[in-house]
Amino acid sequence: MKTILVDDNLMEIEALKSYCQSSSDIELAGVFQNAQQAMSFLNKEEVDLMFLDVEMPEMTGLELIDNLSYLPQIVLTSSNREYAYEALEYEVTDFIKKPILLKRFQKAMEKVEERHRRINEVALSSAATELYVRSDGKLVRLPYDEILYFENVGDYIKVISERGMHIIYGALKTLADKLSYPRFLKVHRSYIVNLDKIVDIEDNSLVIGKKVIPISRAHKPLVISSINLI
Amino acid sequence: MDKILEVSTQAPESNNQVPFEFSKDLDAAFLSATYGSNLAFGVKMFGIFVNSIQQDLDILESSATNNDYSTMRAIAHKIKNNFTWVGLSELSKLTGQIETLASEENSSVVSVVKDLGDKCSARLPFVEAQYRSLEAATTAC
Repeated sequence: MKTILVDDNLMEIEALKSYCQSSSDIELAGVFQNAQQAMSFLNKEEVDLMFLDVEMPEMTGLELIDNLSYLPQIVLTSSNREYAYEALEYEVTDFIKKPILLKRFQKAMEKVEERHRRINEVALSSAATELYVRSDGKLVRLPYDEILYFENVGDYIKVISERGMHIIYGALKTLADKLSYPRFLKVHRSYIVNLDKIVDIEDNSLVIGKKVIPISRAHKPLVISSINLI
Repeated sequence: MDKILEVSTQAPESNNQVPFEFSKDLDAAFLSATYGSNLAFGVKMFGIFVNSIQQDLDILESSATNNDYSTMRAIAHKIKNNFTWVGLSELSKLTGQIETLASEENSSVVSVVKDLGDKCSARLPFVEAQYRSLEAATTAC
Protein backbone atom coordinates (compact mmCIF):
# COMPACT_ATOMS: atom_id res chain seq x y z
CA MET A 1 0.00 0.00 0.00
CA LYS A 2 1.65 3.21 -1.20
CA THR A 3 1.73 5.50 1.83
CA ILE A 4 2.86 9.02 2.77
CA LEU A 5 3.31 10.67 6.17
CA VAL A 6 2.51 14.34 6.76
CA ASP A 7 3.41 15.85 10.13
CA ASP A 8 5.43 18.84 11.28
CA ASN A 9 6.63 17.03 14.42
CA LEU A 10 9.87 15.11 13.93
CA MET A 11 9.23 12.64 16.75
CA GLU A 12 5.77 11.69 15.47
CA ILE A 13 7.23 11.29 11.97
CA GLU A 14 10.01 9.08 13.32
CA ALA A 15 7.52 6.91 15.20
CA LEU A 16 5.30 6.46 12.15
CA LYS A 17 8.32 5.76 9.94
CA SER A 18 9.46 3.06 12.34
CA TYR A 19 5.99 1.41 12.39
CA CYS A 20 5.60 1.65 8.60
CA GLN A 21 9.03 0.14 7.99
CA SER A 22 8.10 -2.87 10.10
CA SER A 23 4.90 -3.45 8.12
CA SER A 24 5.23 -5.53 4.96
CA ASP A 25 1.96 -4.08 3.60
CA ILE A 26 3.28 -0.52 3.47
CA GLU A 27 5.48 1.05 0.83
CA LEU A 28 6.59 4.40 2.24
CA ALA A 29 6.48 6.77 -0.74
CA GLY A 30 7.15 10.07 1.03
CA VAL A 31 7.52 11.92 4.31
CA PHE A 32 6.50 15.58 4.43
CA GLN A 33 6.79 18.12 7.22
CA ASN A 34 4.22 20.48 5.78
CA ALA A 35 0.95 20.18 3.88
CA GLN A 36 2.09 22.19 0.82
CA GLN A 37 4.90 19.75 0.05
CA ALA A 38 2.48 16.86 0.43
CA MET A 39 -0.01 18.56 -1.91
CA SER A 40 2.66 19.04 -4.62
CA PHE A 41 3.53 15.37 -4.34
CA LEU A 42 -0.11 14.23 -4.43
CA ASN A 43 -0.78 16.33 -7.52
CA LYS A 44 1.82 14.21 -9.33
CA GLU A 45 1.42 10.80 -7.75
CA GLU A 46 -1.50 8.81 -6.40
CA VAL A 47 -1.15 7.05 -3.07
CA ASP A 48 -3.33 4.54 -1.24
CA LEU A 49 -2.89 5.87 2.28
CA MET A 50 -1.89 9.06 4.07
CA PHE A 51 -1.20 9.59 7.78
CA LEU A 52 -2.08 13.25 8.14
CA ASP A 53 -1.56 15.60 11.07
CA VAL A 54 -4.39 18.09 11.54
CA GLU A 55 -2.60 21.02 13.14
CA MET A 56 0.27 22.28 11.03
CA PRO A 57 1.36 25.88 10.37
CA GLU A 58 0.53 27.54 7.01
CA MET A 59 -1.86 24.84 5.82
CA THR A 60 -3.71 22.42 8.11
CA GLY A 61 -4.34 18.78 7.33
CA LEU A 62 -8.05 19.48 6.81
CA GLU A 63 -7.22 22.24 4.30
CA LEU A 64 -4.99 19.78 2.47
CA ILE A 65 -7.92 17.33 2.21
CA ASP A 66 -10.15 20.14 0.90
CA ASN A 67 -7.62 20.92 -1.85
CA LEU A 68 -7.03 17.41 -3.16
CA SER A 69 -8.57 16.28 -6.44
CA TYR A 70 -8.76 12.68 -5.21
CA LEU A 71 -8.79 11.14 -1.75
CA PRO A 72 -6.65 8.24 -0.69
CA GLN A 73 -7.46 6.54 2.60
CA ILE A 74 -6.62 8.98 5.38
CA VAL A 75 -5.70 8.40 9.00
CA LEU A 76 -5.97 11.77 10.74
CA THR A 77 -3.68 12.37 13.70
CA SER A 78 -3.82 15.09 16.33
CA SER A 79 -2.97 15.69 19.94
CA ASN A 80 -6.37 17.33 20.39
CA ARG A 81 -9.31 14.98 20.74
CA GLU A 82 -11.70 17.67 19.50
CA TYR A 83 -10.66 16.91 15.90
CA ALA A 84 -12.25 13.46 16.16
CA TYR A 85 -15.54 15.16 15.16
CA GLU A 86 -13.95 16.63 12.01
CA ALA A 87 -12.52 13.19 11.26
CA LEU A 88 -16.07 11.84 11.22
CA GLU A 89 -17.26 14.69 9.00
CA TYR A 90 -14.45 14.04 6.51
CA GLU A 91 -15.19 10.28 6.56
CA VAL A 92 -11.53 9.42 7.06
CA THR A 93 -10.59 5.82 7.80
CA ASP A 94 -9.45 6.49 11.35
CA PHE A 95 -8.49 9.19 13.83
CA ILE A 96 -5.57 8.68 16.21
CA LYS A 97 -4.86 10.86 19.19
CA LYS A 98 -1.14 11.52 19.60
CA PRO A 99 1.25 10.26 20.70
CA ILE A 100 0.76 7.43 18.22
CA LEU A 101 1.73 4.17 19.89
CA LEU A 102 2.39 0.95 18.00
CA LYS A 103 -0.78 -0.85 19.13
CA ARG A 104 -2.97 2.05 18.07
CA PHE A 105 -1.15 2.23 14.73
CA GLN A 106 -1.79 -1.49 14.20
CA LYS A 107 -5.47 -1.04 14.98
CA ALA A 108 -5.66 1.79 12.43
CA MET A 109 -3.95 -0.43 9.86
CA GLU A 110 -6.58 -3.12 10.42
CA LYS A 111 -9.26 -0.57 9.53
CA VAL A 112 -7.23 0.60 6.51
CA GLU A 113 -6.82 -2.95 5.23
CA GLU A 114 -10.50 -3.73 5.71
CA ARG A 115 -11.53 -0.64 3.75
CA HIS A 116 -8.89 -1.41 1.08
CA ARG A 117 -10.32 -4.92 0.72
CA ARG A 118 -13.88 -3.59 0.37
CA ILE A 119 -12.82 -0.99 -2.22
CA ASN A 120 -11.07 -3.72 -4.25
CA GLU A 121 -14.13 -5.96 -4.08
CA VAL A 122 -16.37 -3.19 -5.37
CA ALA A 123 -13.86 -2.34 -8.14
CA LEU A 124 -13.61 -6.00 -9.19
CA SER A 125 -17.36 -6.38 -9.20
CA SER A 126 -17.65 -3.23 -11.33
CA ALA A 127 -14.91 -4.41 -13.73
CA ALA A 128 -16.88 -7.59 -14.37
CA THR A 129 -19.94 -5.77 -15.72
CA GLU A 130 -19.07 -2.28 -16.89
CA LEU A 131 -16.46 0.32 -17.69
CA TYR A 132 -16.29 4.07 -17.30
CA VAL A 133 -14.95 6.45 -19.96
CA ARG A 134 -14.04 10.11 -19.63
CA SER A 135 -16.26 12.22 -21.85
CA ASP A 136 -16.81 16.01 -21.76
CA GLY A 137 -15.38 16.24 -18.25
CA LYS A 138 -17.62 13.45 -16.96
CA LEU A 139 -17.13 9.79 -16.25
CA VAL A 140 -19.74 7.95 -18.32
CA ARG A 141 -20.78 4.43 -17.31
CA LEU A 142 -21.00 1.91 -20.13
CA PRO A 143 -22.41 -1.52 -19.25
CA TYR A 144 -20.55 -4.18 -21.27
CA ASP A 145 -23.76 -5.56 -22.72
CA GLU A 146 -24.51 -2.18 -24.34
CA ILE A 147 -21.12 -1.88 -26.04
CA LEU A 148 -21.07 -2.88 -29.73
CA TYR A 149 -17.36 -2.62 -30.51
CA PHE A 150 -14.09 -0.74 -29.99
CA GLU A 151 -12.21 0.72 -32.94
CA ASN A 152 -8.60 1.86 -32.87
CA VAL A 153 -8.04 5.20 -34.66
CA GLY A 154 -4.45 6.45 -34.38
CA ASP A 155 -3.71 7.18 -30.72
CA TYR A 156 -7.41 6.98 -29.81
CA ILE A 157 -10.11 4.37 -29.42
CA LYS A 158 -13.70 4.84 -30.50
CA VAL A 159 -16.10 3.13 -28.10
CA ILE A 160 -19.38 2.44 -29.94
CA SER A 161 -22.30 1.59 -27.71
CA GLU A 162 -26.05 1.33 -28.21
CA ARG A 163 -26.34 4.84 -26.76
CA GLY A 164 -23.65 6.54 -28.85
CA MET A 165 -19.95 6.96 -29.42
CA HIS A 166 -17.14 7.99 -27.05
CA ILE A 167 -13.51 8.63 -27.92
CA ILE A 168 -10.82 7.77 -25.39
CA TYR A 169 -7.05 8.13 -25.53
CA GLY A 170 -5.08 4.89 -25.51
CA ALA A 171 -4.08 1.73 -27.32
CA LEU A 172 -6.38 -1.20 -28.10
CA LYS A 173 -3.88 -3.63 -26.55
CA THR A 174 -3.93 -1.78 -23.21
CA LEU A 175 -7.72 -1.64 -23.30
CA ALA A 176 -7.97 -5.37 -24.08
CA ASP A 177 -5.95 -6.14 -20.94
CA LYS A 178 -8.44 -4.18 -18.81
CA LEU A 179 -11.61 -5.74 -20.20
CA SER A 180 -12.73 -8.67 -18.13
CA TYR A 181 -15.86 -9.47 -20.16
CA PRO A 182 -15.59 -12.86 -21.91
CA ARG A 183 -17.83 -11.82 -24.81
CA PHE A 184 -15.34 -9.21 -26.08
CA LEU A 185 -13.06 -10.58 -28.77
CA LYS A 186 -10.29 -8.98 -30.79
CA VAL A 187 -11.06 -9.73 -34.43
CA HIS A 188 -8.55 -7.41 -36.09
CA ARG A 189 -5.61 -5.27 -34.95
CA SER A 190 -8.01 -2.30 -34.94
CA TYR A 191 -11.19 -3.89 -33.59
CA ILE A 192 -12.53 -5.54 -30.46
CA VAL A 193 -16.16 -6.62 -30.84
CA ASN A 194 -18.96 -7.75 -28.54
CA LEU A 195 -19.78 -11.23 -29.81
CA ASP A 196 -23.38 -10.86 -28.62
CA LYS A 197 -23.93 -7.95 -31.00
CA ILE A 198 -22.85 -9.66 -34.24
CA VAL A 199 -25.59 -9.72 -36.87
CA ASP A 200 -23.74 -11.95 -39.34
CA ILE A 201 -20.31 -13.10 -40.42
CA GLU A 202 -19.21 -13.28 -44.03
CA ASP A 203 -15.79 -14.49 -45.17
CA ASN A 204 -13.38 -11.95 -43.71
CA SER A 205 -15.81 -9.53 -42.11
CA LEU A 206 -18.67 -9.34 -39.67
CA VAL A 207 -21.55 -6.94 -39.24
CA ILE A 208 -22.61 -5.17 -36.06
CA GLY A 209 -25.50 -2.79 -36.56
CA LYS A 210 -24.74 -1.38 -39.98
CA LYS A 211 -20.97 -1.42 -39.49
CA VAL A 212 -18.91 -3.90 -41.49
CA ILE A 213 -15.88 -4.89 -39.42
CA PRO A 214 -12.93 -6.73 -40.96
CA ILE A 215 -11.73 -10.03 -39.47
CA SER A 216 -8.02 -10.59 -39.91
CA ARG A 217 -6.75 -13.95 -41.12
CA ALA A 218 -4.89 -14.44 -37.85
CA HIS A 219 -7.99 -13.83 -35.72
CA LYS A 220 -10.53 -15.74 -37.82
CA PRO A 221 -9.99 -19.20 -36.21
CA LEU A 222 -10.64 -17.68 -32.77
CA VAL A 223 -13.80 -15.96 -34.03
CA ILE A 224 -15.11 -19.22 -35.47
CA SER A 225 -14.29 -21.16 -32.31
CA SER A 226 -16.04 -18.51 -30.17
CA ILE A 227 -19.42 -18.81 -31.88
CA ASN A 228 -21.97 -21.60 -31.66
CA LEU A 229 -21.63 -22.82 -35.25
CA ILE A 230 -23.98 -25.70 -36.06
CA MET B 1 21.38 9.88 39.73
CA ASP B 2 24.42 7.60 40.01
CA LYS B 3 22.13 4.72 40.78
CA ILE B 4 20.09 5.44 37.68
CA LEU B 5 23.17 5.54 35.48
CA GLU B 6 24.34 2.30 36.99
CA VAL B 7 21.03 0.58 36.26
CA SER B 8 20.29 1.95 32.85
CA THR B 9 23.72 1.71 31.26
CA GLN B 10 23.93 -2.02 31.81
CA ALA B 11 24.19 -3.66 28.42
CA PRO B 12 22.11 -6.80 28.06
CA GLU B 13 23.98 -10.08 27.59
CA SER B 14 21.44 -11.09 25.02
CA ASN B 15 18.29 -9.36 23.80
CA ASN B 16 16.23 -12.47 24.39
CA GLN B 17 17.49 -13.30 27.86
CA VAL B 18 18.05 -10.00 29.66
CA PRO B 19 15.53 -7.31 28.79
CA PHE B 20 16.85 -3.76 28.74
CA GLU B 21 16.02 -1.95 31.95
CA PHE B 22 14.60 1.52 31.53
CA SER B 23 15.28 4.27 34.04
CA LYS B 24 12.91 4.32 37.00
CA ASP B 25 13.22 8.12 37.04
CA LEU B 26 11.30 8.18 33.80
CA ASP B 27 8.07 6.37 32.94
CA ALA B 28 9.80 2.99 32.67
CA ALA B 29 6.59 1.09 31.94
CA PHE B 30 5.77 3.33 28.97
CA LEU B 31 9.35 3.26 27.69
CA SER B 32 9.57 -0.50 27.99
CA ALA B 33 6.26 -1.00 26.16
CA THR B 34 7.27 1.46 23.45
CA TYR B 35 10.95 0.69 22.88
CA GLY B 36 11.55 -2.61 24.68
CA SER B 37 11.46 -4.67 21.50
CA ASN B 38 13.12 -2.03 19.33
CA LEU B 39 15.87 -0.15 21.17
CA ALA B 40 17.13 1.45 17.95
CA PHE B 41 13.76 3.16 17.68
CA GLY B 42 14.28 4.47 21.22
CA VAL B 43 17.73 5.80 20.31
CA LYS B 44 16.25 7.78 17.42
CA MET B 45 13.41 9.21 19.51
CA PHE B 46 15.60 10.16 22.47
CA GLY B 47 18.16 11.62 20.05
CA ILE B 48 15.60 13.91 18.44
CA PHE B 49 14.35 15.02 21.86
CA VAL B 50 17.78 15.67 23.40
CA ASN B 51 18.94 17.59 20.33
CA SER B 52 15.90 19.84 20.03
CA ILE B 53 14.26 20.42 23.40
CA GLN B 54 16.56 23.15 24.70
CA GLN B 55 16.09 25.29 21.60
CA ASP B 56 12.29 24.90 21.82
CA LEU B 57 12.30 25.77 25.54
CA ASP B 58 14.44 28.87 24.82
CA ILE B 59 11.89 30.06 22.25
CA LEU B 60 9.05 29.30 24.67
CA GLU B 61 10.71 31.31 27.46
CA SER B 62 11.56 34.29 25.25
CA SER B 63 8.01 34.36 23.88
CA ALA B 64 6.72 34.29 27.48
CA THR B 65 8.96 37.25 28.30
CA ASN B 66 7.49 39.13 25.33
CA ASN B 67 3.89 38.04 26.02
CA ASP B 68 3.87 36.51 22.54
CA TYR B 69 0.90 34.16 23.09
CA SER B 70 0.77 32.96 19.52
CA THR B 71 4.36 31.66 19.56
CA MET B 72 3.88 30.21 23.05
CA ARG B 73 0.84 28.29 21.89
CA ALA B 74 2.58 27.04 18.72
CA ILE B 75 5.71 25.85 20.54
CA ALA B 76 3.72 24.27 23.37
CA HIS B 77 1.59 22.44 20.82
CA LYS B 78 4.71 21.29 18.97
CA ILE B 79 6.57 19.89 21.99
CA LYS B 80 3.85 18.65 24.31
CA ASN B 81 3.82 15.03 23.12
CA ASN B 82 7.60 14.95 22.81
CA PHE B 83 7.84 14.71 26.60
CA THR B 84 5.65 11.61 26.60
CA TRP B 85 7.94 9.90 24.09
CA VAL B 86 10.85 10.14 26.56
CA GLY B 87 8.86 9.07 29.60
CA LEU B 88 7.98 12.52 30.96
CA SER B 89 4.23 12.46 30.54
CA GLU B 90 3.69 14.82 33.50
CA LEU B 91 5.56 17.50 31.54
CA SER B 92 3.31 16.81 28.56
CA LYS B 93 0.36 17.72 30.77
CA LEU B 94 2.07 20.90 31.93
CA THR B 95 2.84 21.84 28.31
CA GLY B 96 -0.79 21.16 27.43
CA GLN B 97 -1.75 23.71 30.10
CA ILE B 98 0.58 26.25 28.49
CA GLU B 99 -1.04 25.64 25.11
CA THR B 100 -4.52 26.20 26.58
CA LEU B 101 -3.58 29.28 28.62
CA ALA B 102 -1.65 30.81 25.70
CA SER B 103 -4.60 30.31 23.36
CA GLU B 104 -6.76 32.13 25.96
CA GLU B 105 -4.05 34.83 26.21
CA ASN B 106 -4.08 34.25 29.95
CA SER B 107 -1.11 36.03 31.58
CA SER B 108 -0.72 33.28 34.19
CA VAL B 109 0.88 31.22 31.39
CA VAL B 110 4.18 32.98 32.06
CA SER B 111 4.60 31.31 35.45
CA VAL B 112 3.67 27.91 34.00
CA VAL B 113 6.34 28.37 31.31
CA LYS B 114 8.88 29.07 34.06
CA ASP B 115 7.69 26.01 35.98
CA LEU B 116 8.09 23.87 32.86
CA GLY B 117 11.60 25.21 32.27
CA ASP B 118 12.62 24.40 35.84
CA LYS B 119 11.11 20.92 35.83
CA CYS B 120 12.57 20.12 32.43
CA SER B 121 16.04 21.24 33.54
CA ALA B 122 15.74 18.94 36.54
CA ARG B 123 14.64 15.93 34.48
CA LEU B 124 16.79 16.42 31.38
CA PRO B 125 19.86 14.69 32.89
CA PHE B 126 17.79 11.52 33.34
CA VAL B 127 16.68 11.69 29.72
CA GLU B 128 20.25 12.23 28.55
CA ALA B 129 21.43 9.31 30.67
CA GLN B 130 18.72 7.10 29.21
CA TYR B 131 19.74 8.18 25.71
CA ARG B 132 23.35 7.21 26.40
CA SER B 133 22.36 3.85 27.86
CA LEU B 134 20.11 3.07 24.89
CA GLU B 135 22.92 3.98 22.52
CA ALA B 136 25.32 1.76 24.45
CA ALA B 137 22.87 -1.15 24.39
CA THR B 138 22.24 -0.90 20.65
CA THR B 139 25.98 -0.56 19.95
CA ALA B 140 26.59 -3.69 22.03
CA CYS B 141 23.98 -5.55 19.96
